[in-house]
Amino acid sequence: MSCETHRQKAFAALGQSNAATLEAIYQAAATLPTLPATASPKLSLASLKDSVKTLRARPVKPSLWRDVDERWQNRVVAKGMPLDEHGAAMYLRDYGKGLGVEKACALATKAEKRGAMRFAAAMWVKAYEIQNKVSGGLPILIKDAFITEFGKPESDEAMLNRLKDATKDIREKRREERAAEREETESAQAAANRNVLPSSLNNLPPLSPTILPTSARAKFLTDATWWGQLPLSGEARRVRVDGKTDSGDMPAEIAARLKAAQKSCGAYAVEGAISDGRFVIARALAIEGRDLASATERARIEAAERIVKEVGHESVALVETARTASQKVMLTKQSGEQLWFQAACAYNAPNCYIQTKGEK
Amino acid sequence: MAKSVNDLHPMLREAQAKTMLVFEVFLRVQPENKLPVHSKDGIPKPDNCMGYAAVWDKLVAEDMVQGQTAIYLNAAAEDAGLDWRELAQVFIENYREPASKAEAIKASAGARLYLADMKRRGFRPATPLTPDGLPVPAWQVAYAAVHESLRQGAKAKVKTPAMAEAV
Repeated sequence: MSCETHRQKAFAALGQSNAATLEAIYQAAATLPTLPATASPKLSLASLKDSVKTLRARPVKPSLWRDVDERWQNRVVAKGMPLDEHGAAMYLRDYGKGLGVEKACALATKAEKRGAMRFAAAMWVKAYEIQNKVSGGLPILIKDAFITEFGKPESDEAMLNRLKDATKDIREKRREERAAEREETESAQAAANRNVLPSSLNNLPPLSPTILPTSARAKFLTDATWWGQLPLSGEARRVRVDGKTDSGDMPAEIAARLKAAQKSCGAYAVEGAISDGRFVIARALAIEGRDLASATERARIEAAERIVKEVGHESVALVETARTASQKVMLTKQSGEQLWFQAACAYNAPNCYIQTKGEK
Repeated sequence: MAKSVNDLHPMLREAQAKTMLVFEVFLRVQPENKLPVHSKDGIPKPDNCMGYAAVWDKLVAEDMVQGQTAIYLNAAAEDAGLDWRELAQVFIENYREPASKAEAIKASAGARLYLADMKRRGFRPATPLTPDGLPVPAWQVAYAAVHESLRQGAKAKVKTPAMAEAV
């Protein structure tokens, strides 16, 4: 059934008396009148500039890029079109039929990327004309003024920026690749060195704190950057655990336990002393093959804590470190000497390790 | 629709909206619910739309949209204490593409509520619906605008008696 029959049936359903009237009204009005023109945008240089600004901000579809690249190569370059408004006019004369706004914008952007600013300006004008349905084209004065202003040859700086932008992705990708490569090399190096102690440990001088009277310690009690320990009782010694170094006169059981911890801690070196049949560690000087001498005292103590935890036996203990004010007060109540040091200092840094004499 | 509703001449846009209202009347009076249109978007050709727009103006002028020919707007307007002609005007004026993504989301929500109420009252929309149960965005904006007017009307209607008592 045709549309007409459906319509007539519907009119009839509205009442026989109305049907004829409605059909007559319909027939009289069912022609497309010449529609009065809506307010068209005012054709001026300002409106052209504004529109071009908006058009430039529109992203170009990737699929369109391929098309435009090909056309630029096969039409503009291959046919030797001048890279100015005359070239754009030639292009539009030969291939402009049915050109859409999007493609005109993409062509303009392409021309700009190639530094053909006058060609690009003429394409922006075309995009504006298509978008605003400007029949017969823009007035020549507006067009020329726009092309003169927008089509200025690039300054050296602008060209440099354009080239920088064009190669930005490549540069970023290369930078990322280099960083990934460096990281990989470093981690491979670290894995290879994990069980080798740094040679710098061989020349590390023994800890030599400055000795001050008891009265000097008041400063360390209130300053949170200073921590305290009881000095090692017994002969301080450095123990190197790297699977090669002889453990010397270390009791066999303790030596075996320290060696077992190498599996998880890598090659390490600690500073400690044998006391009451136990090996008491004050700080680590290396762990996982990394030199800790230039790291902070905090890092050395934390490494020592990790090693003691990995050994997990009472034969290897840790010197307690007083970090808070109350712990430091408790430390001062113990007889004998106290060792004070800055938590953030390198090993043996001058004036960072202070030993105070005990009260008794 | 070949191009965006917003690109249409305002006169033609108005004619399309009025055509949909005439079609709602047709859906009420045609037992087989066949509309005189074959296009996929449910909108007749521009010249036919102009004809239906003139028919709509006649139906409104002669007060013929009532009783058996009453459309959803009549029933909904009565409940909300509004004039259905005003609602029809809201529908015609808001037949346009949503201006932003936020408006599109709001419009789809409003259109869903409009269509649900329409269904509840036993009416059918004349606009073709997509599989998600909604018409194209331009109709969604129109439906949502009418729904909002109905909501405001219902709110005002509830408030009025209470205020009168207070006075």
